[in-house]
Amino acid sequence: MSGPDEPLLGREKPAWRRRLIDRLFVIGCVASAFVSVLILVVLLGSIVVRGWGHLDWAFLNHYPSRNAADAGLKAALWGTIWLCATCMILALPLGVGAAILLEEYAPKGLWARRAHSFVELNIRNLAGVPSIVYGIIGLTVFVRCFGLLGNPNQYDQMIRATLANGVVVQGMLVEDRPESVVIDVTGVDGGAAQAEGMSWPTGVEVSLALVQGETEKLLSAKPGEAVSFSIRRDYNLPLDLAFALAPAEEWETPSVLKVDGVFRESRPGLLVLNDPMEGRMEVPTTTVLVRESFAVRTHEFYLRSNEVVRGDSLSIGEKSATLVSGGRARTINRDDIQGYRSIGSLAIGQEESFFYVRLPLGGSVLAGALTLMLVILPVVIISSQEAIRAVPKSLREGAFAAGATRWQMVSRMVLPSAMPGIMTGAILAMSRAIGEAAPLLVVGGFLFITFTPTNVMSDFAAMPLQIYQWASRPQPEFYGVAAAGIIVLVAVLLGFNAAAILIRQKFQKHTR
Amino acid sequence: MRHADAPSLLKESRESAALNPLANVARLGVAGQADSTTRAPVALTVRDFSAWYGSFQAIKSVSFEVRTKRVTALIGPSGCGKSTFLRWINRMNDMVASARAEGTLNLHGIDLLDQRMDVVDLRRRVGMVFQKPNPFPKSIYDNIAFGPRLHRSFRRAELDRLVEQSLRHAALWEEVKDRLHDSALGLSGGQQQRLCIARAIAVGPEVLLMDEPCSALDPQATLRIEDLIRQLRSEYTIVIVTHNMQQAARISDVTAFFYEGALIEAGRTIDLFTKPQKKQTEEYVTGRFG
Repeated sequence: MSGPDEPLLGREKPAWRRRLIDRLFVIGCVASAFVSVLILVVLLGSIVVRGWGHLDWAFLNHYPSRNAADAGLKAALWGTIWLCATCMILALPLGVGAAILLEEYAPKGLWARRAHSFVELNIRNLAGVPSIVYGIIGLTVFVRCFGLLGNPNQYDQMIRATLANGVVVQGMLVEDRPESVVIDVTGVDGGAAQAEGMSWPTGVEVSLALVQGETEKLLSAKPGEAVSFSIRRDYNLPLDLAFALAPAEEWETPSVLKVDGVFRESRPGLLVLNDPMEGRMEVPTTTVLVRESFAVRTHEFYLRSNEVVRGDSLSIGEKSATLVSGGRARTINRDDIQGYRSIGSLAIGQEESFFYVRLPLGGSVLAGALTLMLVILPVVIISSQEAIRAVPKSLREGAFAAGATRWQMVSRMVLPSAMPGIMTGAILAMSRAIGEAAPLLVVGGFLFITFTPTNVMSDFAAMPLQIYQWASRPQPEFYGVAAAGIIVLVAVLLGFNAAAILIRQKFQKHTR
Repeated sequence: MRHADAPSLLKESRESAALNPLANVARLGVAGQADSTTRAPVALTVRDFSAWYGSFQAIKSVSFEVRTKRVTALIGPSGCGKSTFLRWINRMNDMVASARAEGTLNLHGIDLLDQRMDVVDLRRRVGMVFQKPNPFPKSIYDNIAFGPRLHRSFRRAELDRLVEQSLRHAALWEEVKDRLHDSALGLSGGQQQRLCIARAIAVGPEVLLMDEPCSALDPQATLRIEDLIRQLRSEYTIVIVTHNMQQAARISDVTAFFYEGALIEAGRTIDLFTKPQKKQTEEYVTGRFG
């Protein structure tokens, strides 16, 4: 009790000192804010300066190449889109469901309560687990399925070779010798059957001569030797090896030809192909065992006048074929064509259906997406929990008081109110998934492929992997390509964040 | 249909009261003074009702009766257990893990403490209005339609009619009829609370519970709610918790005074305020404590 007349207790602090500390604090805050901005500006600036020159439509629309000028992001971009879309479809219902369980269905019993808080604690801990660990889990659980369901690599080692006489041999790669490969056709779906037109005894080793990596030599192979081959994922072979078809006249079994041609359309039960020699071909899908596709880079036509015409894009009509090269189109009469070949990047046999699924998952889009799902699931659950928790208790009580069951309360009151928060959290989680490289590398993401996924069992590339691969190349030109890839990645990321903000505003409009 | 079984219950409760005269201490009205208040059939029978939160006893062996189509006010200082009591009537306390209760709480023949009882059906018959207006972040229309949609499926025209009826009942229709599809959060506090009342009515309840419905409102909005309660009195059994003794005196037929978890006195409002039987009641209603 100190009255107005009594002296104040304590010693006066000098006012200048307090003001000085206040001033220093503001300066410190401004400095640290500027340092972070500066780092970001330098980082983005240097990347933009390096990568801008490489950034054009072709960059987004080209497959990777050993040539820096031709290298593009198409496979990685689409791989990432497939991965993230699949990942979101899997992670959102699971994460939001778990969050609803944890927030709205809190149990009453002692042991149930302990289990509940144990699960909550675990989810928080899982959010901090390094993503490479999830990669290992993904490899064991999804890619290999604990080894219980067979060897996922059986698909990797599948080899398919077309002999000069037109017979297609498909089977397991047993051995890869310098001058030949050994294929085992036993136990492979359609392995022996694929060699139709010949009674091919199963269980017999077929030796095929081939010259590894030397495209031109391969093409000049004599009849009786293999003239083309495709192989699934063999790290010993350069994967952008040119893939070639032999001139059509060398084939003796025309029925095999039907699987080769320029894809035109896919109708129910029917695959329509165009072939420069045969014209339009309709193949019942029931007879298609494996559909292979490859990205054609160059077509070559051998005319009866011994002239060779090259071009990159091809359209085939009933009587003529048109070849475009360097912006100039050339139309060739079908009667003048003696033979043709298409040189493209090696592509991997794609299964027919969009809904195709197999086990074990192997290094597929689905395995990658499931692994990424593990990485982001804790984040999705926690952010959904926060969003659900932020829904006022009064709204829950109001819904219950109106006679809502718990599910009606959750679905009609809590979820609509929490949706902006849930969506924001989900999209931020997705931003994390987009940038993840380590788990995908473990699961088996490709560094170099030349096709885009067609279903969830496709092999895939991803943008972070592609950027890593470019950046680790010795040639300095690839630094620019890597920088351009980073620009695209950052642009996609910023796009997602913008979408998050837009969605949040859209939902909030209804609630304010 | 609504109160078809009420008379038999009335008889039953009288019989049980006769068997146990001690349970009758807080019986409404004074014997032989059967006026319109005490003649109404019993809606809610409370016998030796106790409630706990964990080990804390919030309500201590309370016994009284709530009559059909009357306004019963529960008064008492903060923490006296009146809100807890209200929340047991529609089992809102199920949301509190530690809450439990003993005794008898019987609404038109339904044992409210039975764990197997269908709380969803109970809440359909017992509407509740909360202390703070809690309109849902939806349009005015969807707020009213929320409850009915939970229980039945409607054709558009039927639902339109139900929404209009409910809003008219809650004396809100004229103010909102041109903006039914605007957000309910744009309404004023008083309008929001009337919207909540309309929302409770829309489900077609027999009983309306109101937990200090006016404490967050200004005096004018409070008056409108009180008018509304007087209008609703002819159709619903209303139990209202209030801190405001004047309000209890203005709108209720029966008042029950709670203190520290016990029911001190219950009776006709006019009796309780003019000639209280207990000293504590007298001190509270005259403003000497609380």
